[in-house]
Amino acid sequence: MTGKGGCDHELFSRGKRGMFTRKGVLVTCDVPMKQLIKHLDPGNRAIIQDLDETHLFVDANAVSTIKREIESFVDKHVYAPTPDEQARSGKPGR
Amino acid sequence: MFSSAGNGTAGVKRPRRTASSASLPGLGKNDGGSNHLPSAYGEEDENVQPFLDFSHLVLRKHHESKPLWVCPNLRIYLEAFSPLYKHAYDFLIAICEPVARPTYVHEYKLTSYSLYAAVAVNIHTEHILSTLARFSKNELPSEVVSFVRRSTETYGKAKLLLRDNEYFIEAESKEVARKLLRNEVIKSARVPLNSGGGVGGGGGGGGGEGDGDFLEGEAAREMSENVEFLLVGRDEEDGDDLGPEAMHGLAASKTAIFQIAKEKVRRVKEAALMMDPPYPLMEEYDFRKDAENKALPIMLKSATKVRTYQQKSLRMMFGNGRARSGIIVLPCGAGKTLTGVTAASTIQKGVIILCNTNVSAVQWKAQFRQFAAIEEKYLVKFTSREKTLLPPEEAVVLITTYSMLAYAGKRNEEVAMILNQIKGREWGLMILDEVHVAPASSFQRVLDVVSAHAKLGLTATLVREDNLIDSLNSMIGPKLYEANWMDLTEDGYLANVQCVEAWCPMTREFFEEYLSVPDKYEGRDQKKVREVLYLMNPNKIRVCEYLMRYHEERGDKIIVFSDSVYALSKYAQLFGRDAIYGGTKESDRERLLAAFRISSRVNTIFLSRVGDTSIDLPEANVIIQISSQFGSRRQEAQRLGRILRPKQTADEGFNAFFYTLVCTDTVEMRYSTKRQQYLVDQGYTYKVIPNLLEDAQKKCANDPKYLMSNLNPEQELRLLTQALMDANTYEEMEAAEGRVLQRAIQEGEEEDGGSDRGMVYGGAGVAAAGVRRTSGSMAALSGGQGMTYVDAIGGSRTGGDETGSDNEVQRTMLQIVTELDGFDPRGNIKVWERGWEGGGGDEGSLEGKVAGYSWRRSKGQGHGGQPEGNGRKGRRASS
Repeated sequence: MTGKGGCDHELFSRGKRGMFTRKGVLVTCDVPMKQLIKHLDPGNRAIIQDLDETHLFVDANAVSTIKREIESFVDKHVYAPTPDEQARSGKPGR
Repeated sequence: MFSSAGNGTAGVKRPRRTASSASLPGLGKNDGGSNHLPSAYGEEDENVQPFLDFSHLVLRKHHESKPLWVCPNLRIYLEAFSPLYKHAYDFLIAICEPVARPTYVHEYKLTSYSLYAAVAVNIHTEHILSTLARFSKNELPSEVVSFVRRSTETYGKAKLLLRDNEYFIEAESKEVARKLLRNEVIKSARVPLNSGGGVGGGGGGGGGEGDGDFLEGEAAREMSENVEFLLVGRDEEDGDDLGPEAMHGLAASKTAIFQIAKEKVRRVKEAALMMDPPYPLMEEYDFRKDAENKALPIMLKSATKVRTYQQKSLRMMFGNGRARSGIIVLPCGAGKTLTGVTAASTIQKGVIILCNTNVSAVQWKAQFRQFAAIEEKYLVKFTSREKTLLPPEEAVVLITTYSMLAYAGKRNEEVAMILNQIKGREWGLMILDEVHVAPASSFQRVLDVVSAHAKLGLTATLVREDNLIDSLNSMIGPKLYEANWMDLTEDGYLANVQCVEAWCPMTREFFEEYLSVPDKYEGRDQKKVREVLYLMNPNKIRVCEYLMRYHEERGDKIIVFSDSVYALSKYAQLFGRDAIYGGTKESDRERLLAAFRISSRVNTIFLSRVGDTSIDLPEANVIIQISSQFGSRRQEAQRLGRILRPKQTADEGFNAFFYTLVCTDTVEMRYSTKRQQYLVDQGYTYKVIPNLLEDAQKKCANDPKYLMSNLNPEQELRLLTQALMDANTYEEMEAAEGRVLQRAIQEGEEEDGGSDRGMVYGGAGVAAAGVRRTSGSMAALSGGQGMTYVDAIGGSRTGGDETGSDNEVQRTMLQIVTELDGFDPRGNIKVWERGWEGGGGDEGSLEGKVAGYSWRRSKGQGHGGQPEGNGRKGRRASS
């Protein structure tokens, strides 16, 4: 996930009745990122199992969404001068 | 040959940055500066970089030996490794604005302001063009030529001159004088030549067109040092025969002078600016011929050494034997005060100095004593604390603050009297310290009160997030000189600083809370809650403690900066160190600062925003920044300035460190990058350390000294609840600090453009003025009394023995952790047991507990999670 982890394993998790299977992906990430993913999925619909501090087992279908969300979250914290600021600092006098 | 290029900056648009940097022939080779090159292009749009094709530019003969690339978009690139660098630099700094000055290739841009400044120091249009052409690798683009001509056409042609207390306009030629007099306002302000005798009979202005009406004057000659670069490299193949004779011939031409009425000066200035084309009147003060104003007996002490760059800047000011108004930009710690003192001793007339805080007023006075031979009675301070009447009929050095003069409300009798004295005088020189801080409105009021012949603005960072810089140009004057930080560092005038950005990941609980802020805190100031969270992030505290102790062990002197007073007092309490903020009493402040300077036991001091400027701590060589004023580039530069004073140890490499602690995955990342822009442009590089926390954890895992680092998750959780509970107090504290600062510097105007800045300190201060503290004990814990409080529980710090300091930290720590658990509101009885396994009333056993933190931590923290080769989207990993 954006370099923070990898989708190393694909596993099948078994539903309660044994009939229903979901494809899952093991997500390795750092502590804050795990928190972010959990935050994105309040109802625990995508997260199949919360393994430990740095590992989550999530629904394979949700992976792309999670990736996208993390991407946009991280983007928010990257500074790039806005056109406005640039115009101000690069103003050619009067 | 450039006709096809048209007016603008012609070019084909292409989306990628990399392409544009390669477009400049030859420049791509220089690795050091290459990452800055693209910034010249397409700043207008961050995604679509316009590709500027300059391949049509024609290289001149011997271009290898020339230092400059002059581009049609008014950008100029200087090769800093060229043998002609020094000369080209002096020239460029006179005519352009520096944009970025990294190691190898500097970027400059021509603006109409910078050209105005050039003309102000008597560099004329043709000189600019011919010198530029001489240094340039390529033929001058027609855009540049026409821009320079257009901008300088009318600049510097007319000057406002003060002589014998009368105002004159000195025009370069009679034609210009006549042109000016065609303006109604100026015409009506004119004082006929022989008005004194009354016989001239020019009352109606009928003879206004006659040549006889102008006084003839000889234009002041510019010092040859200032225009030295005009002569460099003139030899060789460049056949242009503008020898020194011809040059000086131009400067020594006859000028036309006419007098104008004193009371109409301001309107004349405005009228001249409104003319089409505008004739900005430059203000010059012929102090040597001023017999009216009393001389001030002041001289530099013979032991005082004025450094080369200070001389250079002053030469720009006094270049033609008069005093020009303008701004001198020198990095913090490079001796701005001495520059001011020297200017004062050159003019030797009444001097008024405006500082932004009382502290710096005190320092100015001390520096005057130190550098100049001046009798005590001529040094007068006028601050909120010290009000002395000016000695009548004597020129003095008056040191005051902006707010003292600008305050518009009611004044008491004493102050009013002194103000009238100031108003009634003519000052030879007005020095405006930290000129970038003064907001426009209070500034204008100051200018109304004080009539000064020459104005000198001093600053380290001519950047503001608002547009005030432009108005400074018209209110004070052009920028006369700007020093290059890296050159000064190389010459040993500034400390060699390593800038570090240390990443601190949020802990799980804090980040969870951070993420859920929008849901949980509806109706509250969410930015503030978030701020509390990333400020009190336990990992940040850990890294801070690690760095602090590491440098303390090395024997360094450390300043910890926090913009937030809440975080400041919390951190200071946790580590048992002293803090200074707006509410600190003057006596305490001086005691603490003195202890920091002198004592080898006090190696760390915590400073709030009051320490950003003007607190002079030459011993300090490490800064740890835990919180900052959002994306303020100025603050970053100014904090850096606290450790820029050259260090005694002449070791190779870095001798000072500037750490910024940034919580990853929070808005701090964004602010941090923005803040660095100015210093990066000055040639500083920031080193990012993403995994300092791991080092810190390794180092202090089994070291009981690191109390905070051995917090267990439970205690972290308490810290979190405490932080959230304190969010209210927090707002109030910040507001109080805002008020203090507002009083001090009248920082009422919003400075950060508002976009990035969540809180308006000034505004919040006013709004919260009516808020009362409701939770008494909580407020006492973290509020105004915080510092005395820490002192009280910390015990005497200076008198202790070797082991005393550790004990003290433990005791303080203990106390605080206890208090995190809460006060008993009625009896002030501390609940020692709560939250601890087992209980124990006596101190000894509890100390054992504190030391025992470390056993528990290793389990709970479980830090296998940091993947190596962290590919997190930092700005350095540009995609």
